[in-house]
Amino acid sequence: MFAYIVRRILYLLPVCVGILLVTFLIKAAIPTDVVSMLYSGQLTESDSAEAAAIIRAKFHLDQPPLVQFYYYVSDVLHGNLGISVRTREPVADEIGYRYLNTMELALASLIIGVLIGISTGIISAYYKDTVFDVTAMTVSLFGLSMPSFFFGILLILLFSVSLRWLPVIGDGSWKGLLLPAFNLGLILSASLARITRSSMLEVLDQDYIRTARAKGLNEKLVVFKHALKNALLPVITIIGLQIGGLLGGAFIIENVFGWHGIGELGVKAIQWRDFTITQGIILISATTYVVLNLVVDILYQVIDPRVKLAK
Amino acid sequence: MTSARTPLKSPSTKVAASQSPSQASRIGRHLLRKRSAQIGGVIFLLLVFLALFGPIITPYDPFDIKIEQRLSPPSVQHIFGTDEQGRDLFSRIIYGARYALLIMIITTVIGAVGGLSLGIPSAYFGGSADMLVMRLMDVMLGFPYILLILAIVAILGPSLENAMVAIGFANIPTFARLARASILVVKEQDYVTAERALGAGPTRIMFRTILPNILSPIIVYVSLTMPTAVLAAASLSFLGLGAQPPLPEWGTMMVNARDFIVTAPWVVLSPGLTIFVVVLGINLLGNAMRDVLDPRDSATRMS
Repeated sequence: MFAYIVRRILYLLPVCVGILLVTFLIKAAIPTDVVSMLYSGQLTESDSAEAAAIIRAKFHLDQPPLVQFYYYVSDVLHGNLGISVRTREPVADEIGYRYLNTMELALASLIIGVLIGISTGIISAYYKDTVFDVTAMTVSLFGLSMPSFFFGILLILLFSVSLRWLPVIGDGSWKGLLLPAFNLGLILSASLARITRSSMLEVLDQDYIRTARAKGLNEKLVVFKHALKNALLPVITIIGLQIGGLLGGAFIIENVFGWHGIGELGVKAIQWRDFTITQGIILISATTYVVLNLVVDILYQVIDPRVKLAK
Repeated sequence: MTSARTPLKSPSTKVAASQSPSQASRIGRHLLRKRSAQIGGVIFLLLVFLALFGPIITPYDPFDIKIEQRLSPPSVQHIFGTDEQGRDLFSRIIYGARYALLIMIITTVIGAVGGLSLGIPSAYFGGSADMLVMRLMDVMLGFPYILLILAIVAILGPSLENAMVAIGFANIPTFARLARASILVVKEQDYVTAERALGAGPTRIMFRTILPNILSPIIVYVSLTMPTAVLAAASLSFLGLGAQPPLPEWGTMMVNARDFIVTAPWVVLSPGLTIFVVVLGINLLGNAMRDVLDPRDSATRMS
């Protein structure tokens, strides 16, 4: 097991280097003169040329790209994400609390999505081709076809404007969390329900289920113990991949509900051309995704006794 | 419906040509019998029709600003109402069909051409180049889909063209993996060995012998990426990172959505519902095509 985890982490190294390379490119590709962006208005004509050279040297901008990349990676490894071009505050400070907000939203959405998605999938599979199944699958296809931001607007229209149950803009309380979490969670449940259903149908068709039934086992026991345990295994992998969908979805949904997460800031940073913030947010989101997927993979190995760890 | 037929009918492929007419018409018949394919097909054909003949149908110029008519609710003159600058929403939505179709085509072409031209030689030759390409794809898949698109947009800058490039680019790794997996199965088949024995070069074998035989999973995947691409492009535009105003792109039309939810909901509802219906149509068509072309795989690939 330990060897597997080590191997899996080593396997991540090139992915992490790739992520750093992409975020590094964000800075390199931005055409605006970095020096004037950082110190606009603070330099007079006379000393600007000299000062610019000093600043360029300070940020290693006078070095070849490879050396710049080295300094960038070393900064990141020391927890230094640079300072925001716009506010001049350290990026880590700007991102910190917002990261927790986004994680809170993602976790709440994940719980909602998993609960609704998996239970709908099980019921649909068990009552295949009934009114419930057909309705649930139609609704889930609607969910997959709905632009998430439009769904969010519809939720606001219904719950905040018409019914006046919830605030239009998130205020940080649980009430403000409710709509964005349901927005992301319900969209997640649409794909989870479909996957759980097909996985469950496959398992219910297996010989060992027929055997269990032939033995005269209680139907509940067959479905929840024998079938569900096996049907959920592929679903776990999908949940790991869908965490990426949640993180990406947060970038869109946070802007609909005014939820103060990294997604809200990230989109603004791209518009503002604040490359240090953009870099930091993309780096931390991609890293979170990679690490969470590692956790899911390891979990999978622990849960599924059939997976024999190769050497 | 017809789109499944055309690639196989193409006369340039010797292998497929001998069986294709009957095979293609069989697939076509199967598709036509499915309710989901009928509904999806009608929606898709309508989209193509509006994209081609939009300017003839639209009652107003989609860019024509008439401030005195701003935010008028749906009426006989403006059946979808007007937006905050008095532009006719119905005309803007019809013009938007062009962008939707363009987005689908460009992103798919970039993704498929990029993915296939990386994945096919990589799988065919194997070795260290294969390793390298696949690790590169792993890196791209290390990003969540939307995040990779946002990262590319951050590098290139926000515009419709860059959004399409970013989405197409983000589609490359899955196409490459799909092509690779298919090639690994096919490349040891007898007809490939036979071609090689006849002295065909690797390029000919890869793209004229093998490619036509792995088309069906690729067509299925294309039909599944198109709705995702439309949603991603609309989301980018909605965030102000894709198509820019005053382009009548459906996502762009919803940029100021929140300001009008209460006072003029039609401004938000008409583009939103249009995106929904179009994506639903392609999803229905794609699901039907997957059932017909690739029945064994229907369980796992759905996202």
